[in-house]
Amino acid sequence: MSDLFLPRVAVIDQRTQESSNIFTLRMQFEDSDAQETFSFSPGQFNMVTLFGVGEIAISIVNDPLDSHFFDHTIRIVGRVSEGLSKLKLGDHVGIRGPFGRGWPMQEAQGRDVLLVTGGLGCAPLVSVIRYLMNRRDQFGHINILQGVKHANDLIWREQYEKWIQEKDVKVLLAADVATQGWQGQQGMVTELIDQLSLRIGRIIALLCGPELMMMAAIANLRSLGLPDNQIWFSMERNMQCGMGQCGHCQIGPKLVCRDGPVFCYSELADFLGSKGF
Amino acid sequence: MAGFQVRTNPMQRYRQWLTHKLAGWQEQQGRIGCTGCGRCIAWCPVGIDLTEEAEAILWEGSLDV
Repeated sequence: MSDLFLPRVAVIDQRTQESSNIFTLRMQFEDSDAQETFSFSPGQFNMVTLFGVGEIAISIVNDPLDSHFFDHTIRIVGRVSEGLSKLKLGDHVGIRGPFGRGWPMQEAQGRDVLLVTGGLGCAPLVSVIRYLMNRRDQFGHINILQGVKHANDLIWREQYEKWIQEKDVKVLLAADVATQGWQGQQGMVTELIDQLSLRIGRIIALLCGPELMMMAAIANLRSLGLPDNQIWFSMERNMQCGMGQCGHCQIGPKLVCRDGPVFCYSELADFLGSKGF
Repeated sequence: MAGFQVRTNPMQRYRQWLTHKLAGWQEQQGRIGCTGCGRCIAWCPVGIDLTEEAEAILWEGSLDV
């Protein structure tokens, strides 16, 4: 049996409260060999085990250059994530992974990158943003559009403010519900696309968020003339095994954990938004 | 996905069973998910005939349920 079935113990090094119900755990494998050989690409995920409770799929938010630790940003939604939120420094979790196919960083080389995220959909793409920022000369213009339901849901504000300082980087924020002092737009993140002067022929678009948001963004980008093979998005499904064995996460013929979670629009066009798939 | 159900009604789950076994399985595993033994037809408590249902999907079109 492959050792990918066996969780390896990781130790919590650091815990950051990002918002009232979102937190980030920084961890490293207890076994230093396991940590040294752990490598991943942006968009891949780990199966995180809370011993005695359960296992959930969580994306890795680091640049692969961070070799001494890895971070998981988690929202409290269920039994496991709530339990994880109560862990303290030095506590143990189990980690299997990394799994899945990440973002097409090779295809993105030399292109303008448009990132559209909704809610905590920003987590799988923060890995990409860090990757881009650390290799700024390999990519063209970078446009980051982040939408949240409520202005208070925005996390990583300082990071967005730092990224916006970089040359040829734009960050636009939108909140469905704005509060006093909100710096961004009020409305949907997909409306922000129209405010950009995009070089359509040079763009690759990377999307992550609720499916309805991604479908709206895809429709908008296609109407601007962006070809289907330059539109990529990360899907979320119930993942159990992480390696295409159990079938829980399938959409039509695709297994999200193994063939995705990142898909090119042309691969899933027939199934995206199709009810019951 | 926590707390979110992808296939909320029996019709969607029934469609998933049929199309996964006969179609999705082929791309995922390189072969069809049905061995053709006929036991599901012989013993189905509500009288579902897999072959009739597959034909209905083929000829009646849309998978949107």
